[in-house]
Amino acid sequence: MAAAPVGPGAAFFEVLDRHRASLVAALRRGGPEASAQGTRLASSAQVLASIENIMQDIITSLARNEAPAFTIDNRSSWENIKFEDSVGLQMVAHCTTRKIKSNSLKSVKKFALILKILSMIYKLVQSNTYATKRDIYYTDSQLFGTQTVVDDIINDISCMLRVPRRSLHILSTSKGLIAGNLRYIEEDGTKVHCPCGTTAVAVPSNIQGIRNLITDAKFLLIVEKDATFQRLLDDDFCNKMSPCIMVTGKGVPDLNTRLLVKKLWDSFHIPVFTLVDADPHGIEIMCIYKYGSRSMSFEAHNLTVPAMRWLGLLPSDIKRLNVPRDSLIPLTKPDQGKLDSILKRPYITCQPFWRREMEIMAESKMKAEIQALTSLSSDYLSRVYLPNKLKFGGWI
Amino acid sequence: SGNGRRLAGGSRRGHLGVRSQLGSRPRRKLPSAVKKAEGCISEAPWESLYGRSRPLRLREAPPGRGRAALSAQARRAGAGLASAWAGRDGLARPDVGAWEVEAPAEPEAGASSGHFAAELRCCSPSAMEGTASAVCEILRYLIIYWKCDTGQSKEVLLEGQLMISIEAINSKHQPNALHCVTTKLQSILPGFSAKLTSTSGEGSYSLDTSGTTSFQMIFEVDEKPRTLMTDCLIIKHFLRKIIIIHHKIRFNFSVKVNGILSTEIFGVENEPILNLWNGIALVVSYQRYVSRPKFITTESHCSRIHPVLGHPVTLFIPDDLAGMGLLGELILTPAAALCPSPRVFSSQLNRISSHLYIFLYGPSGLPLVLSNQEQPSTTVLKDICYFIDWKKYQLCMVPNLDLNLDGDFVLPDVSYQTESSEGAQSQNMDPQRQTLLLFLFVDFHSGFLIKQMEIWGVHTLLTAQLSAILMESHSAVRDSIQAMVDHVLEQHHQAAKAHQKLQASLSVAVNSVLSVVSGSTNSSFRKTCLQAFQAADTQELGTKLHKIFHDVTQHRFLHHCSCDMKQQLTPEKKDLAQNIEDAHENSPELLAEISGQAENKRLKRGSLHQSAEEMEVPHSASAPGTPEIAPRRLEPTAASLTVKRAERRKVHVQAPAPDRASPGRVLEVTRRALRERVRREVRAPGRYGVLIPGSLCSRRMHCGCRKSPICPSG
Repeated sequence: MAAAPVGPGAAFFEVLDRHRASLVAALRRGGPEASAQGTRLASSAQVLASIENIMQDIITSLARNEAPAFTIDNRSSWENIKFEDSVGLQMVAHCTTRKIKSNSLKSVKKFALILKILSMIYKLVQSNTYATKRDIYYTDSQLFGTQTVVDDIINDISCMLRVPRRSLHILSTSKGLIAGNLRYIEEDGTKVHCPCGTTAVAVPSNIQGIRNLITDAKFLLIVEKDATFQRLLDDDFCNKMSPCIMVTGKGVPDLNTRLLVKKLWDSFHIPVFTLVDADPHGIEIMCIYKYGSRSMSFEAHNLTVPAMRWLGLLPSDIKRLNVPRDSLIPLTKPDQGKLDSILKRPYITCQPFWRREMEIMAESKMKAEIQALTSLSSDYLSRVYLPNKLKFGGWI
Repeated sequence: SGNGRRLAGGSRRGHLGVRSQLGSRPRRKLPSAVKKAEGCISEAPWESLYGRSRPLRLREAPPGRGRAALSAQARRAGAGLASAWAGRDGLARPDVGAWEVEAPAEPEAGASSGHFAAELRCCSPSAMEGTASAVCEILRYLIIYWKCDTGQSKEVLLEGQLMISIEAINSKHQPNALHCVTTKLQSILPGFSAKLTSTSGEGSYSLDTSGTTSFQMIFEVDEKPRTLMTDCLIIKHFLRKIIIIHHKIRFNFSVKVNGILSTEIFGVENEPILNLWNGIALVVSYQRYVSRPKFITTESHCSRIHPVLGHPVTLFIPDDLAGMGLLGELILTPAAALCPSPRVFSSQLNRISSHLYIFLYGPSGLPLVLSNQEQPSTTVLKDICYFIDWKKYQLCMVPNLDLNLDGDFVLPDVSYQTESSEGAQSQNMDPQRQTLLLFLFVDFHSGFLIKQMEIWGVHTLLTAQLSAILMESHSAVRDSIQAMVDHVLEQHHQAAKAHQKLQASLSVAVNSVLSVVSGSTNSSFRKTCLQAFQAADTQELGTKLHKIFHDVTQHRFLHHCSCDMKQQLTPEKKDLAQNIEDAHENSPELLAEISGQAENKRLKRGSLHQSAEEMEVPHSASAPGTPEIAPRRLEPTAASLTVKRAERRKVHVQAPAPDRASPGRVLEVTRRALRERVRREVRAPGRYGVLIPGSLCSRRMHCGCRKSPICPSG
């Protein structure tokens, strides 16, 4: 067995420990704990019964000479989403719906595809087998057209039945990576010991099945981009900052990565930080981890980590560190639009420091990637920037 | 069928004593007029000669074969209408006699002589029956003269009645032949008289110019009974071709063979009319054009065709035809329609159209070709691929040479039918025979007042040289026709694709439901599902689900193509209604969308003919296209306007003749009432369907077409 990595001394983590204590205290006060809304794990029998009810309704409707239709919540409509500081973006209790009608040429295909996927889910649940969204797409790629169609319908079904995707026996392909001080056992009994070296393991596809999670990590660092994640591994960041955990969702995180981050938070209540580009898209990705997305707002309580903090790269850091101007990139019009859109979101009102950072970005009309720090020094990020931030509490 | 009505009645007189009325006068019930006649009655007088009636079919024969029997008679009687243009185009034949028609000169023409003389020549005597060609040529001339003589503007349709009588008895001179004692054309036309003289030694004639308000021509010819029978059929088809354009003209056609009389009235009554442009209107009831196939139902197909106008093309006159003194330009305006127009679209994409019928019309909306003629004018149309690319629709069109003269529908000048890759023609394998109608209107436009001889000259020119003229402008003609056909078929193509999508989706839905039911181990669930449809097993349930799914969805889509006059929305209200519907359902109808998109594109492109209006005829005091038309279209939808046709007629009859605006005033009041109703309904919350007179708002027919210059239903 390899020797345990030697990290910084205990004094290094003083601020982190205080931060963790405050988070735990808040939890005890009943603050940032998810409310029991949205989806909940359902048994196979419950899922089967739900699908049978739907089919029965359709048959009854047809027997009455009425064209059947699905009534589906408008998941992506802002009017159906409320913000709760402790949970993030959540669907309101009585949201507006839309009808997927069988007698409208515009919606009949979607109506049929929902039924098709429902019947596939029925078989998966019956046979206690699992399939990824990609598997489902490839069962009849010509019929489905694109993967997005399948993804969207699965989310609709999950929302309609009020059960998480996992209960539908549909898995999403994981693209995330994890490294650092973490051990766990997967559902099938596989023991996983995440490395602290230059390698990482893939985020498992069955997060709910993970058990026996063990860690001594002082913090969890979410890295937006795989390139930065790899660079930090190469710089032996996990060992230097040991004990810690690093996760990357490789851009916009997939469901499993978000579930894992949520699980780690729920299990250990260690501080969660994000390292994203100082641009609107980086902020958007960070918001997804922290507050969730509109389309998955019905499952926010399983996915969001409102206690997460923005570690870097802060737009204010660019000026503070005198990052050379030629390392910066001008904001484009879409960037500006995205930034404006984020600024209008409900959660920004309770994040005045975030708002300030975004205003700095808007004023400077410049954005910066994490790699911009290499203009200061090739290992500035892992050797100076992150350690200082973690040591002195440079998060917001 | 409505276009030719055989009437009981007969007379021992040489011709019927029916005098028709002009447009301003109320029409009499035709049957009552005929009841006054006396004599023997027969539906087909020559049946007494043959013992049985056999269908007559015209089959194109190789040149020089099978025409001799006809042409000998033909030349004697009618083929010799020599034209004043004959000397110019070099087509005059020395053996051809000539009928000369004389008529008083137009007062306003300021001609030096007191009358003018015109020689009428039939250009293609080879395949033409004598009586038929003579009658048709003279009819054509009469209508041209009539149009010019009445001084009506181009936009106003001719209105009146023409009588044609043929009386035949067994010939004393030729065995097995009929001596057609009289072929008489009689018209009651305002201020029109004509004098006929003949220069032909082969036919005899007499003339009656006694009345200033009537025209009469008599000629005699010996013809074989079958020839006469064919002549009569050809004349009838010629009349049908005229009345689908000139729907206000009526023809009283009577044939008396050895004292047995048959009379038919050719006219348009209570049929929808589409005013295309410039006084060219078209009867749009589909039964005018195709026989009613068995599969046709009011649910599956619209009773009207929906013509699409192509862009007008100025035709260049070939160099060798130039210098004929034509001061103006020839303009071709194509129009096309699917017939019958489906309400429920076929999923057979390859069977968009199984037949193509081409109708050629010259100036004044008069047919260019007789039904049995093989004329130079149609030569270029023998290969329609020259003008239409069928390959893009996976269609292969082959000429259809077998035309049935016995039918009651309008015979095309050129006919094609689809051929499959195996070579079998569509008639045998495609139960949903759908015909693409292609109308080619060639008109003469001049900056000056066009005189009848000019029109006649253009007719003569086109009859002989249309092919050459079309070839000269081949590219422009092809572009216009192709774009128009694309539009007609693309709409259908898109709709068929949408229907396919619907069917495919429903199939997926049913199979998915069945998959769950059959795979379920929950006996209660299975039992409930099977009992709902009283199905013994899942297989039966599947069959019933397929059917019911089809029914509940089809029912919805049928409402998209109903040419009943429906409630219409202003664009603003339509948007509002659409938004509200979307908010509730998020499922606007696709068919309307498809049509709408196509129409919108068309609207954006713009068109020269944006005044297409539909109306019902006859008994209209106003010409089609006038503002009165649109409200009249709406009559059935408004409770206050649910006057039955008979009642409307009564109103019109009671109106004093000079006061032709009366119906218009009634309609104006109606329109105001409608406007008021619209305002009320617009204000009323929760009501989205609003009646709007067509002249005030965007019109939307339930066939899915929004207002469009090219689709009369929209």
